Amino acid sequence: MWKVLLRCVFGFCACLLNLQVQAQTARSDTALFLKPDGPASTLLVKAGESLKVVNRQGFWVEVEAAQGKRGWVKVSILSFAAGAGGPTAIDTGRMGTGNIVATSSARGLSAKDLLSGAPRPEEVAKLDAFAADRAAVQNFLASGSITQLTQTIELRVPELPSKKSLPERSDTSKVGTAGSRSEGKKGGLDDW
Amino acid sequence: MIGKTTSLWRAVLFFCVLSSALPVFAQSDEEEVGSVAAARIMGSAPLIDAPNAQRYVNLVGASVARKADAPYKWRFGLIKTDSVNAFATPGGFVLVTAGLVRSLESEDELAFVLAHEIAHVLQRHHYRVIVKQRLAEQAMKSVQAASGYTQNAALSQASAQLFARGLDKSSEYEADRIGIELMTEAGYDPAAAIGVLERLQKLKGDDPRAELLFATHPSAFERMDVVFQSGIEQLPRPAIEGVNRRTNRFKQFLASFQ
Repeated sequence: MWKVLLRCVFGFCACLLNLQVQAQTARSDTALFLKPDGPASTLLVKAGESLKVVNRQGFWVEVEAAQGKRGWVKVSILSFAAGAGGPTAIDTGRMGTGNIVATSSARGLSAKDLLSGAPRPEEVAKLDAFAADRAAVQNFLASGSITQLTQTIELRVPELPSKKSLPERSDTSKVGTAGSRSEGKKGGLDDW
Repeated sequence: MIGKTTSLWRAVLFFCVLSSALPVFAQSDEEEVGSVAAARIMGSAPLIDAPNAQRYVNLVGASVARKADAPYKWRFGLIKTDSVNAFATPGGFVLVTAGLVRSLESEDELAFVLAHEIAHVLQRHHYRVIVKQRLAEQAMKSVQAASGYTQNAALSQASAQLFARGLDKSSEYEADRIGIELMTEAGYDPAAAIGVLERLQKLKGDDPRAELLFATHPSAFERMDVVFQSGIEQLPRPAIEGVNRRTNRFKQFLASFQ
């Protein structure tokens, strides 16, 4: 009896937490679509309106809004930062403090394990044996129908959600990047 | 007083010379630093003893890294721990935990995880921090002590601290962005990146398996916010038949190790 009651209480709390975490808002006014890549419905949501995500297909999410409105929007419509119980709902808040949080973890790899563990160079040496050679990679690409794109993909660098609170750990050494990848398209992210 | 001033100037001079010379010899030093850091991580979580599973992770990693256009010898490892995490160390070492891999649903999701780590290596996120720290220490200790920095114990401890502390948030967002660019160009489905972030969000902040990951990364919501505003929804997606074929072999991979 007690166990059932406890389970109900826990279930209720978990439910509340879940609701809080799920509360996103619309970033801008938009129509709700009947299906992904389908036609728009007559239903509209306003910027700032709460949306509950109930499903996702690729870059589309099915949402529920006030007054039983339901439909599909593109992922870029969602805003987590502005929603009640947004990022901070699951953010541990320990980012960027510069402190090392060495708490105990029941099993696995915690900060404490990293700080107290002895190195095992012999494990690094083993890695070489598993490296993929060119022919194996070609076979793997073919059997997985992986077709390389010919175009270059460039995503935008949006305004960071909490730029003001970024830790002051930027580096000023003269080490460049190794690949041909561009730095932030908006600049100012990594000005080395 | 004069002696102190002289040694300070020598340290500053050394710093300038070393900084300007870095791009020339950085590659091998980078690999050495990465090797020491990887040994430290694997001291707590060794490789899983399943050669076929290790080869599979290397094949997925090599498939993504072939678009990276960087002179690294990439080495990927599946490490034995329930923790949900992945690590990149300088010079091309990428380690992913069994706990994280088991929470994924497809090869394309694994491709995003590895692409995010590959991006850390390409952008030299960890290497920059370690080099800066090393130079600062050397400048303090005088030029003589700095001339042969082979103190692996100090480097090992410094890298453990860095991986316990994490990078700044902007580096994590950048690794997400470049990772998605890389995996898409390589032929994987960029929507799988959203799947991985959703998986992380479902773990919740108090799951002990994800404690270190959440302490060292922005929250999954913050990462989704940035990714959704990056123009990801304009990216081309590969045919579903290929995605399904890869998901089938991913399931075989999951069954191939304990």
